[in-house]
Amino acid sequence: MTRDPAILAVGALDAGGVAGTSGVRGEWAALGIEAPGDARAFRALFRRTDRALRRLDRASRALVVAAEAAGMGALLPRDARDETALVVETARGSLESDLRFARSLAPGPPHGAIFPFTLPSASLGEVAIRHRLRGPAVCLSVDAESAGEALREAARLLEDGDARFAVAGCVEVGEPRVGLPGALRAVVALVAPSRAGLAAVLPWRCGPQAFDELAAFAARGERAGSGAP
Amino acid sequence: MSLPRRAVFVAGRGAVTTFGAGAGALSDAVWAGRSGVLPRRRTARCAAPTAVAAEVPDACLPSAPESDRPLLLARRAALEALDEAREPDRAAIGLVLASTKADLSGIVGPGQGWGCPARLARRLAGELGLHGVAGVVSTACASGLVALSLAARRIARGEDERLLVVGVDALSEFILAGFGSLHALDPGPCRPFDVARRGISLGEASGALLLTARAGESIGVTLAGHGGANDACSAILPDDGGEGLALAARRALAAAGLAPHEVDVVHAHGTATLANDRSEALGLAALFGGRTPPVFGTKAQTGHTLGAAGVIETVLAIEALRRREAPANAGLDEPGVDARLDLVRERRTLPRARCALKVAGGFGGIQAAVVLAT
Repeated sequence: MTRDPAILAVGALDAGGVAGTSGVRGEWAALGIEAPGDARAFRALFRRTDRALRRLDRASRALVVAAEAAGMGALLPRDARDETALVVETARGSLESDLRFARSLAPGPPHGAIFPFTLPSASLGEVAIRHRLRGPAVCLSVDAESAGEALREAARLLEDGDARFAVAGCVEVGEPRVGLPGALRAVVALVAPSRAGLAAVLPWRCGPQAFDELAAFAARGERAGSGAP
Repeated sequence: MSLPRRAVFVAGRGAVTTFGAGAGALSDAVWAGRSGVLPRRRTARCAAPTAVAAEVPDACLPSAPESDRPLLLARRAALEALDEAREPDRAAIGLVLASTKADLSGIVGPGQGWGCPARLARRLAGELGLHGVAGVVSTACASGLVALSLAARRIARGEDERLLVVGVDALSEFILAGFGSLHALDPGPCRPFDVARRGISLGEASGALLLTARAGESIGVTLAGHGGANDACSAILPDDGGEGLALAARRALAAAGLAPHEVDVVHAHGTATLANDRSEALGLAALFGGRTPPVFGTKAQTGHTLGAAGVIETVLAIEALRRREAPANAGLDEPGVDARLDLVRERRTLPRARCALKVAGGFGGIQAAVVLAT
């Protein structure tokens, strides 16, 4: 499959910690910070500040931190960001923010700061803002966690020439509900066409458990090497 | 470098809106200048800082629990699109669904809907006897156009022969209060692009478009190009200069092999918020390098129908090509945006009606555009 895209970087976050090919690796318990982290955690992990992080919902924070752990900021050329697509899948959508907003309706005026995060595309926007990604953006609602739809759609965008790079991810955040276990997870992969000639950090994954495999790879703590463009 | 791709044709259309069931009812009402943004009835008890909304008349839908409303809306529009296409083999058609919140019954009560459109898509595909679900898009108010892009891409690549794209969202207290909490609602009927605009009027609707790779099934319209972009500046507000919108439109036109001067009419997003309309006008003016082609928007008539908007407004963009006429912008008394935007004030004949551009934007900075051609 010579046309398979190349995975250049991976970052992953779960209830235990965060790791990625940027070389970052941390456990929330050791950091003394609740997952998926806050502005203080961001500074501790990445040695820089992101003050806006504190106003985000947990899904957006999870996706932003996973993208940072992948090391996208260092890998993506500045001149490619206008043509970098962003595709994210989620089975739970914005369930946690939906419930928070619904609860805020009962006692009085609804909470305006929560409502934007009841749209799952808000978390994509937060990643796009931080990395100036101006390519096509898609948020996919999927039936099951780790469906891999985002990776497949990213591959289509690359193959069709609609993007030079693609950021494909999944995000699942939510308390337990009927038929849905509790979850906290985000995985982000930076993908490029194989024709770009960039070294992959691992072979192309887009099977039914693709994001599970990417998360496992990130957890092993391997750094991105010569794949950097 | 892009690979050669197949053409994508429109084979069927359907809509359920404040004007009742039928794409024809929608078009006739829009071209007659009627507004379906009316005093709230079904949602009258929902607390929200607006007296109006564009609700689908009860007569359009069978009596059913509130949680089934998105499914019933979607099914009715889908059946109309399939009917116009003379009922092709449904088992060979895939579904692409667009919705912002789908069924919220589990969020606001004891239901099973968790605001995740994938479940609604599975139910709809099952009820219609379709081949399956090819994709479910939840990209805020750009969902409809992004879903059309996703479907067109799959057909063009040869992955699917026919895809039914359905956009749907139903009104609820959650939605009304949500936009109210952002101070984004006009207390009365909205006035897109007007100097006195005060915000959006919400609506509910479903729209359906059957896309096909087979020219013989076409109603004479192709989805000639599509493109997307992200503002990358705010998750809520559009960029000041409309650069993201212009970028998405430029990409859609490039994919269609067309130059901006070849666009004959534009169906705008036109939400009637101060920021959106200003940004959209600047973006379109930049795209066309000056005076734009005739521009019309229809949210003053249909309300902002969120996940359905991109699909029903594409239905109306197609109708403008077929009628060779652009409808007037309802609610527009005195334009309050960049003067280079050629806002249609009275129904206007299109001397050449070969290409329509449809644009939309949504939370998350998402911008999308499609190009329709005859």
